[in-house]
Amino acid sequence: MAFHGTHEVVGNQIASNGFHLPGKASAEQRMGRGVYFWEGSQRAAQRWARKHYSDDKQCAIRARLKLGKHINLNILEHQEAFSLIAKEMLRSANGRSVSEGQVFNFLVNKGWIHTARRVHFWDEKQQFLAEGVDEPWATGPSDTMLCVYITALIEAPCIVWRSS
Amino acid sequence: MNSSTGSELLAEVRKYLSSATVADIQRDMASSDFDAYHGIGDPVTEESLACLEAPVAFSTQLVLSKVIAPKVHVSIHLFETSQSHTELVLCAYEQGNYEGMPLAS
Repeated sequence: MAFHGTHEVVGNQIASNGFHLPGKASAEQRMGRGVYFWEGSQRAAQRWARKHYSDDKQCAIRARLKLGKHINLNILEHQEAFSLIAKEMLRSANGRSVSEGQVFNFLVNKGWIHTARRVHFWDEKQQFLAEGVDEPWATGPSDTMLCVYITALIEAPCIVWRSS
Repeated sequence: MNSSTGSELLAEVRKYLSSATVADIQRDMASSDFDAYHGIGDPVTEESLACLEAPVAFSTQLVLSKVIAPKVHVSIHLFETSQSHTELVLCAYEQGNYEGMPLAS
């Protein structure tokens, strides 16, 4: 199971009409244009929603995902594939910078991936301190993030938590 | 959840790059929201890709180098080398170098 954190208004729309890909780019889409989930962690979805919406009207949605063609940046062969494409994008960019979101979008556009997975670390030291973790060497809180680029792979979304 | 195997993506990428020209890649970049997503996500550099190819996930490495490396000399990680195998990896760091790379792994 996977969990998506959002505002309650958006959550109600998703529960009624399903997920839609975002219409425009935003800084949150670090793995490109897709719908983002936390793998197996409702707590992570709640945490993300609380962090991004301050009006105490957050919710978490549970869904079942099919992964389809999948990239997992914890697997060496997938890292190599990502790196090969990213290097060629850098060489072809005529001096412009290239970011990870652009590389994921490239892989999606070529039809090579439908979903992506990577580890997410929560705001490094600031987050540790906010949570009362005073050992700076502590392996900080992390969760696995899943990005889905084709909404047909998202099944049975339902709201499982509301903050209000 | 189901998924494809690890080697399929790499094979597709290698096949594409074996024949793609710079113009092909630029065209594919343009048709994949390249301009709209400029600067979204961590920047890709030769250095960051070297980290990615090292046996520690890129995001993990960044956190380790920025947060942990100033305080420790080595770290030990469980790392997925495939979907069915996990290996123990030892990384050594240059003491006090916040942006440092693993010295050995």
